[in-house]
Amino acid sequence: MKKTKAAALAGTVLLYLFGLAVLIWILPDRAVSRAERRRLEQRPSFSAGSFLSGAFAKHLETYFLDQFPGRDGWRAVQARLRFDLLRQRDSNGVYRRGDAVSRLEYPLAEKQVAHAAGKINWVMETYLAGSNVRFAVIPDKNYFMAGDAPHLDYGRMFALLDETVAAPRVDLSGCLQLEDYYRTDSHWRQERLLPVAQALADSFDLEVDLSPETGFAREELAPFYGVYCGQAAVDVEPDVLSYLRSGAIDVARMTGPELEGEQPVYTLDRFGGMDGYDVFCAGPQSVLTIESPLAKTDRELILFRDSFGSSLAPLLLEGYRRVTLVDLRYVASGLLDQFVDFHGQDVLFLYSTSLLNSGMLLK
Amino acid sequence: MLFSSVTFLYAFLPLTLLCYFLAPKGLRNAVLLVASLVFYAFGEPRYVVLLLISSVCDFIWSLLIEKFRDRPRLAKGLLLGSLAVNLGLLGFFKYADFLLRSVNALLGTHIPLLGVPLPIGISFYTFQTMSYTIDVYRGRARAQKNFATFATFVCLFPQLIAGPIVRYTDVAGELEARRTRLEDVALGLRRFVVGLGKKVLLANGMGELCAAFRSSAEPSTLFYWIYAVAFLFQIYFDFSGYSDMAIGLGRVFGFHFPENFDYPYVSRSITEFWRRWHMTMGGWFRDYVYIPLGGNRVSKAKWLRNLAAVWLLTGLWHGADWNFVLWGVGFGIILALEKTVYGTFLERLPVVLRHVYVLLLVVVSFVVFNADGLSGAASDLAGMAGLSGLPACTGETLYFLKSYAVLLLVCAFAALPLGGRLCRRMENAGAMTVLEPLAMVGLLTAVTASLVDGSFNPFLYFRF
Repeated sequence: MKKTKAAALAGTVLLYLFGLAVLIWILPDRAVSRAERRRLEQRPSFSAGSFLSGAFAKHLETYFLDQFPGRDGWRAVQARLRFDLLRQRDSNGVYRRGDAVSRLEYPLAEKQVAHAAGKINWVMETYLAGSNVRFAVIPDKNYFMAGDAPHLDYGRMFALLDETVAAPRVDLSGCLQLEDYYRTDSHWRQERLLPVAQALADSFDLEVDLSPETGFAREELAPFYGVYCGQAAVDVEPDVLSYLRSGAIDVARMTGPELEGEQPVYTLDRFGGMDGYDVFCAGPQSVLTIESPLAKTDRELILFRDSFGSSLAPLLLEGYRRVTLVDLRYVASGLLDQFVDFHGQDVLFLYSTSLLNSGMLLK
Repeated sequence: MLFSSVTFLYAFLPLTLLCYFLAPKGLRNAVLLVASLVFYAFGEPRYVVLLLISSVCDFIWSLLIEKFRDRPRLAKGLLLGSLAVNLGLLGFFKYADFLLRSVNALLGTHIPLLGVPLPIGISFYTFQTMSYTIDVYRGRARAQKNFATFATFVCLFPQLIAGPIVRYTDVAGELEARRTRLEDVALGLRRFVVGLGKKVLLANGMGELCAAFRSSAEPSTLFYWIYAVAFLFQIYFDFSGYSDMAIGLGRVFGFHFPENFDYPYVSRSITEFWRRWHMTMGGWFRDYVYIPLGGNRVSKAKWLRNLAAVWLLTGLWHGADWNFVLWGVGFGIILALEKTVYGTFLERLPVVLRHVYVLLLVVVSFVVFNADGLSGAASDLAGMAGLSGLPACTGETLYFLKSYAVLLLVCAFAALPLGGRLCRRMENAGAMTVLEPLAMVGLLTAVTASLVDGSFNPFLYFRF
């Protein structure tokens, strides 16, 4: 090998290795990655114990990966390699259809679904005697988007739930389509949920008109970087997050053990946080009670829900004087009577297929 | 520590290179030894002691063997002592639970398993130290008088945990004195980066496909075959990529390690395949087991016994489970048949058919190799044969086939010598002075992007 070529070859590789090594050490560490919506590993402290247990080596590698100079750029390169060069259908399970992004979710975990169904039945038997109970499943985005990509066996899931859950199911699949979900996020769009809210209200014979013409005003927050923006690591236009206002919604106030005092149902200051969707009912909360003084009836609703319920609940304030939101991922079902007064209210179990497929999360 | 980790690439390696090349020549082995112990300790902190015990034992045994060379019975006793210690350690850490499981299964007993974690690379460094002591006993190598030099040989991080199996005689001279030339550094780094690319971009990609198969919701006969082919590529690029990295790094530090792979999937017989696959292990078993047993210069019965012994050990070396035994013995039987029954017939077949013959057998053999025990192997083979009652193809299968089609084609091309030949032909072209460094930058960028993205990154041969 000629000397010039050897020098060019060795010099290039060494420069690359040493250059990035130096950058890793001199660049300041970041605390969080907004793109990935998570805290980043910080430099691990060395001790004999952590070294001997192997924890130090593990944390050091995670630290280097998390704090790698230009991390988001490297992830974008990897996504480009997968999608454009290798023509792969997904990158780490994240796939695109047009300008919409989603994550592959399969196979159906029947044990998880059975656990969720069992939990719902247990709550009904324990607390809900005399209540008017309904059950609804929110099809996840893949239901409309997956096409030939692997996805849950939705038919089997619905059949399993219908066989086991001792409450009538409200079918929402006819009220929804792909456009009702954010392009970059897993959640549904509140401004397109009025037909869903109407269907649920109708199932309880709640006399309320939730048609768009009834005076809902739409407000927008932008840019909304959905959960898949970071996971896809490719250029995706962010969404616009819209929320609906009305007289009833504006005056409604929510309280809960994890909230300070009374708050409006839209916590707009959370839009700049890790997950912009937390605007709706303050994001993850174990129990929330929303009082709606302008509701058209004196009826009350208990809504057992996951994050999808946060954006739906405000729409039901038109009809219900009080809506109690319960997230069984954050509060044990055995302790519910310490937080909720059960006295024959309407009760809706509203869960997404994603949550039901990880049903053991329900405590 | 993995070669394909950010900690290695952007912390350990630059720091080690810096210390090594700044150190006076007399201290370079010490730098390598310390770096190697740190490297090993990052993966197996507690088993560094085992590595050092193994080094100390063989260092002392060999000195004693050399000292008592004129007393053959004592020297032989010392050699047997050394082998007993080495094989005892290997047996305890690698095979004790396998033995207990087999006894429990056979006798219906419930002897509790030891659950001792397998020290990384124990099969590799045990074979290296054994070959050293045997070579000293045979008079093919002089016993090393300097423990640091000997420990550097045993612990040398480029080849410590996944080979190639470097014998002391391969590097004895270079351990004492070696020159560092710019060309060696350049070629070594190039080899390292190419190996890294094979491992991270190809083997890991195929590993993802295998993992997708294992978690399949709708398996099919076609998916079994796709998995089998994907694993064929994964194991080759994983292991040969690691060997490339080891050989490359060795060269950067002035060592010339033996080659370990020579495009095995172009073989036209299983005999040829084993001349091209894991060559240092094949050579080890040939020189330290097969030939000492008499090789093929004995009666046919004894020759078959020798062959059986070698392939039984080859299977067991790769893993402590019955599917590995079946894998090794299966190859032994095929090799015996090729040599005694249909070898001549095979040579008369059209080349294409011979390739098909080899690839089919190798694909099936690696399915057995990668199975979860014998029952797993039977289940996988039944799936491939269409005997599992599965559909021929499902939507999920097609999705993954389409998703990995390009990568499968890239793997197929990279497993052929065509690309290598092309590169060698263009090696001296003037443009390569620019193109080769650019290619290295491209490969390093793709590898780093893949690592930072946190892709699938196991090393198959760590378990051996």
